[in-house]
Amino acid sequence: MFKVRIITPQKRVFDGEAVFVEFKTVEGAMGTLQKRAPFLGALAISELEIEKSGGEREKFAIHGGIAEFSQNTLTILSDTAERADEIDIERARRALEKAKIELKNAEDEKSKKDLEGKIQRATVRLKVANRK
Amino acid sequence: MGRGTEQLIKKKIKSVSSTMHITRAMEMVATAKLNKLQRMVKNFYDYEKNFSDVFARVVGAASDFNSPLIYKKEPKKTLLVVFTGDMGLCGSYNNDVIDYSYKFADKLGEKFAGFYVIGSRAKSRMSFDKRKIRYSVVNAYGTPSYDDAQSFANELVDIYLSKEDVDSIKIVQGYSKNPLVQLVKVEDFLPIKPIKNSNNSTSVYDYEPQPSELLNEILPQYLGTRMFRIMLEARVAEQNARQNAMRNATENAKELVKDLTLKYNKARQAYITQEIIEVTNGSEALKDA
Repeated sequence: MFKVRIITPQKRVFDGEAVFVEFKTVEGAMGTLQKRAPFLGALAISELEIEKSGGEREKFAIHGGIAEFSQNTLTILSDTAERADEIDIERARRALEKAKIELKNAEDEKSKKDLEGKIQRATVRLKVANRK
Repeated sequence: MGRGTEQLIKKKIKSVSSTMHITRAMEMVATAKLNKLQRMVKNFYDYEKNFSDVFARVVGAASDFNSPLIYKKEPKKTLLVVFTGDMGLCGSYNNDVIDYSYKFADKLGEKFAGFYVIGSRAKSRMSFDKRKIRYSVVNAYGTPSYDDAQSFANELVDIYLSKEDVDSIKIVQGYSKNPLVQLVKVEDFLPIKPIKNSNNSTSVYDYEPQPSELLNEILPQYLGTRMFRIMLEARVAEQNARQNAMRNATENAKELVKDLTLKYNKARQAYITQEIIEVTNGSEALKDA
């Protein structure tokens, strides 16, 4: 068992204990059990899954940020972290379609990058929401 | 003195007390907004504290870090971002911020590149004073959200990197020293001054990706966090100022109503006394006849 905290600028999204946490850094998928060596990593826009002691699993959509494991505590600091049941599926779907169309018409590099980010975020939201 | 004065005073009392109702309502609105902001601030400080701990650790590890965002040489052209509100009725708050920014711009002299104005108050006054406004945003960030802060921080980074004549960005903002005293300060936003390395933890971390790349990844987040703090602080100061101004206005109106009521009663009494005198004089005169 180790402590897990997911903190966003708005609130503490999760503050509890877990036996296993699965997430994705910018370099690839990762999982951690308790008493891991200290770790710092940049998170990708991805899913994060927490397994609690009873085997119960909870999913979050994480929009980038940073993860730190130290002193048997995993801290996730992200702009946005959403539980599966907090996600508005319709809205995410609309956002995804809109961003895809805009991306086709986008010209400069910056707006392309922004739109790609939007698509990633909407995709992750949908993924998390559909697999509660 | 006659009925006329009485009516006049009565009208005045009515108008003052209706103003008092409005100012009191505005005070309550400011209080409600302030409470909401303070809840946001509390949640945000939790995040910020954890984030700056982590950030300092990454900076400590990334010894070979190099980015155009980091301070290297004395900047030559400074863009001043000025945070004001979109509404008045908050005492001298907005003007204090603007005056401070004028003074600071004059001090910069040749090194001043222009204003980035936030809030309609500063915009209208600066265009009236014919100051150099390069960018402006009005009616935005009313209730600051982190997303707004992040995108505004990104916009500033863009300006900093792409504009030849801007190599430094400073932010002028109001802040609350305590609920009754609002002050103004200027903060360096870009380039980022070398951050104190408070890496006193003895454990060796695994990094993914490498520390310097990791730092590059979280720099935007760091700037967004700072921007959100600035936005919240400025907004709290504004609401505090408004709350105080409206409370004072309500108190003054109360005093005024009290004075006017006294005046009204005196005028009424004088009128009655005079009438009695007239009546008794009349009857005395009749008695003698």
